[in-house]
Amino acid sequence: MTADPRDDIALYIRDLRAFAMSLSRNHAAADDLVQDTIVKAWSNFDKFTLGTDLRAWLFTILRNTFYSSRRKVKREVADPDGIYAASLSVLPQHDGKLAFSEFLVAFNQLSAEHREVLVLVGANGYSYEEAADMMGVATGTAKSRASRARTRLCELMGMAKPTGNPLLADGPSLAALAQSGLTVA
Amino acid sequence: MSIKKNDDTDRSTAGQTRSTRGRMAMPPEIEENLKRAYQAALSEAVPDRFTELLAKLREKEGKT
Repeated sequence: MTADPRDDIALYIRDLRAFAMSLSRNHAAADDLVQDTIVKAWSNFDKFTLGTDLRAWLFTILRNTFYSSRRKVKREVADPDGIYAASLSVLPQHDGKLAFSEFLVAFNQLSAEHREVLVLVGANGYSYEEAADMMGVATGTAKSRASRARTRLCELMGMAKPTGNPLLADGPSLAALAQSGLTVA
Repeated sequence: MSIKKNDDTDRSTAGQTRSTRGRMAMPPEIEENLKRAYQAALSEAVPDRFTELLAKLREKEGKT
């Protein structure tokens, strides 16, 4: 009895959902994306080179599906779940929490391409070469995209600093901001 | 006195990412938040629809 290598797809559903969520920022859309990815991967499994990184192959299908459907729809549904909007209302009680909720708000303002490269390299630990392969670009492009994404993220987090925000402009919050290591340039 | 060789063009990939400051123009707090957010998404339970989908795909194949 030979094991079907396609059974390994099941091992990566969590990864696919997390990656889909970071691209679409919406649970329902993310799960549809994962569903499409699984069906495509299953029926095109002959195109997968056995012994290579299955997760990377699945990620490639998922992101290609995401971008091609986005081109069709031409409109991104931003956070209809209200999940990230809800994270906005989290008051900065602990410095760690403040930094994290600010991060989520900033991260979700990035373009999908910027979120993608940060998630592949920063969260999944792929090399620039691997990420570039998945994104269908040159390694240099992946590197500069990651660099711009990081810069943009820092800018966005900088903008979220207390200036003009009465919710955050009290002493403890400022202290929390300073402790969180955010540069108030 | 020992002078540590400061090799900026260190291309070893093993566990050295933390010290490659020039490349990571991002505060470590942000990098950690990124990982934390992704881990939270990763820890979500897989809905039944996906295991059911895989079972269905397999079943369909058995029939053809």
